[in-house]
Amino acid sequence: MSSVRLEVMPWLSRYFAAEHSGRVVLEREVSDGATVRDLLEEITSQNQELKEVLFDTKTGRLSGHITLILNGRFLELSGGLEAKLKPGDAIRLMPSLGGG
Amino acid sequence: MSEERQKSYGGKFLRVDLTSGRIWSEQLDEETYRKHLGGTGYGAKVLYEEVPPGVEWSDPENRLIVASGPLGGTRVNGSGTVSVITKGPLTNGAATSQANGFLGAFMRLNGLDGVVIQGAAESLKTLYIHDGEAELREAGHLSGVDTWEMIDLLQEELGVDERRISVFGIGPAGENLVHFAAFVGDRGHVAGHNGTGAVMGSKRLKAIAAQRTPGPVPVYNRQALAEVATTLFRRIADDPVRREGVYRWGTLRGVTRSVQGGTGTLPVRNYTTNIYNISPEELEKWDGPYLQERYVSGRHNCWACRFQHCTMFTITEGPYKGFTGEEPEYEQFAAFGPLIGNTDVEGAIVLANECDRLGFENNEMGWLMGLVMECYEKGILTQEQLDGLDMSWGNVEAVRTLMRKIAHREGIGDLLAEGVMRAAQAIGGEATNFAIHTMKGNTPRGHDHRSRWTEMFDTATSNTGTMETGGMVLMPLDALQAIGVEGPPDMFSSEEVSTFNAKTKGAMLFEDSLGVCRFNTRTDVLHLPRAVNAATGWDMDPQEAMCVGRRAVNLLRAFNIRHGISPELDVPSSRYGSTPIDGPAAGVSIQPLWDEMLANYYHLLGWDEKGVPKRETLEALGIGQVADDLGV
Repeated sequence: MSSVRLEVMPWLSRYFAAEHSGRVVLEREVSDGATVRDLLEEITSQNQELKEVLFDTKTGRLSGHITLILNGRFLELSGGLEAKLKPGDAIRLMPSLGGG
Repeated sequence: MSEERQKSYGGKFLRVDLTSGRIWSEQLDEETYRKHLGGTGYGAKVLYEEVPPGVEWSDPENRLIVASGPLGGTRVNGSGTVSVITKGPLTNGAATSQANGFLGAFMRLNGLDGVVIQGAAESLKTLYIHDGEAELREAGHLSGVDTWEMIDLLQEELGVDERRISVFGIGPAGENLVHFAAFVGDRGHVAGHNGTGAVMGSKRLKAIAAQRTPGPVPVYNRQALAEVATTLFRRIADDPVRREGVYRWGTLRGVTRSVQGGTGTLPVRNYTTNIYNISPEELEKWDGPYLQERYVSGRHNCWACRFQHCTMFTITEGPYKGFTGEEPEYEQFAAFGPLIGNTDVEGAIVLANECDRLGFENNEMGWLMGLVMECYEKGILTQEQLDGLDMSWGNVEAVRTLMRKIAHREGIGDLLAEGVMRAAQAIGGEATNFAIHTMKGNTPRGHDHRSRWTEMFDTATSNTGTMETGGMVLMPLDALQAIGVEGPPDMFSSEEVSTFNAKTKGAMLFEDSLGVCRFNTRTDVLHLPRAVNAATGWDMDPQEAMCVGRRAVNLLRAFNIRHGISPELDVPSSRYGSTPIDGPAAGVSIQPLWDEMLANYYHLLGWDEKGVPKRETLEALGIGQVADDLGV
């Protein structure tokens, strides 16, 4: 097992802590060889509403309305949902920003 | 067409010839109105048909169209919006831009969907629309006044309370034909891309004022429209993310969210870095709660809008204590914060408001200041060349002074008044490598698009002088699926990004043809046609709606080609398309993929390999005569 840091940015954090609209930081234990997808599936396993927010349920891809930064880099540039997690990894989860 | 139907949907446009002073109106037939609607759709048609090749942006024969559409002035939230369409100076091609506020609603209350301006007056004029009529008034006494004083003086002159009049016009920048002058009004709303204000200045039209007349705007089925309006509103207000986001704060939290999220989307110091170097204590001051708690002095909502942004600010502490203005939008904060290396939020509030008052488009101003500051840092522009100004990163007062010089074309301001691309060419040398713009000549919106490929690809391929496809990644998923798009793309996949942009192309221009605000309606092509049907009695579906948008896309594309803008210019400048050296997309470049993205995009739009619309594409959209004009 190893520990990773999950940082959930405002507007999404309410799914992790009731009535909380600020930033939420969680430490999570993941098994060796676990991927980003494994982590997200684990945290959504008891929360169908969050699952529908994070995933495109048709394709199993991360929702286009969500941005995930893994160790300061876009997930898309870091191996995607199948990227393997290492001890001390930092995952930042937020709604995609809109506009020009 | 029944008389009831005719009265219900509108489609009446005011025509004004400033050269002769003649004013008349035209009523579109139902078929034409349904094909083009109002706003950008109608404007693209008028621009294409009435501004032939050879007519330059400052020629009296250019047209300036300011139009709402079939939803303007109704119960649909944010339906005071207008679209402004013309041939603009930055690209010397088509320009379309939108402003919220009240003008669209008040024109509709006067029985008009919009106004088409042609000619040029001998002296400065104001167009005043009231009691279902219109008149041209002398406006020499408004010469040189800024866009807020303009409102004060016109209210006094016309004897109308501010709540009963909407005023949009130009400041000193527009009167002096600054190439990125904007159409500004209602204290804080701007349709400014591609120099709409410069065109207005060339016509010597200072302002358009519309009085609020008793309503309501006639619609075909009021109850059905109210139901759709409620649905559109609830899809934002009941959405847990948007309720705490754009609904509560508008765009005010964009800077803090970008920094805290580490998304790399802020434009920092003219793209020389992707990291905004700001302390947590300073950053907190850029956030909604800090600002609204301290500085809000009143509400400033647009027509039929329930969002909780658009407030009036009075700064209550620090060197700018007592300064009053409007709550800035994200793009103003981006331009006058990270882009110019400034971390002082009160300074950014002051610059944002002065930019509006002088009558500029703020994004171009931000990129221009970024260019000047980088040139100054690297010794390409000296303090002497800059009329003694110390243009070091973050020098708010120097930016403030330089903006005024540009508005009046004084000293170095005359060169900079031409906009980023031409100013860089005039400065010469390395400056052209620093300048951020499309090769058509306009600048991007207020993000670092090197980590937002959909937006960069859109901006560089657009024919509107700004974005044309828009931020469709945030369109509701069911609306995307209604037009055959599964969902947003992988943001760094060349194939997915170019496919996504092509498939969503037209949605934004459809929305911009209705007279509504994008924040309120989210380009919801599933529900917006239902609203149009309730307003008009039609049976438009999402596919027909997309055709309206695509028709405008192709008309604007053909207009630009005929006016000498080659599709070879569908590329970003070297700095705009550069590779970020730091941030979450460091080392990743879109440039090597550009040609394959263009090929896929052109193919999906029904354009040939050179980016020219094919005959069958144009005929399918019912604009086959354009194929003859293009010789395809």
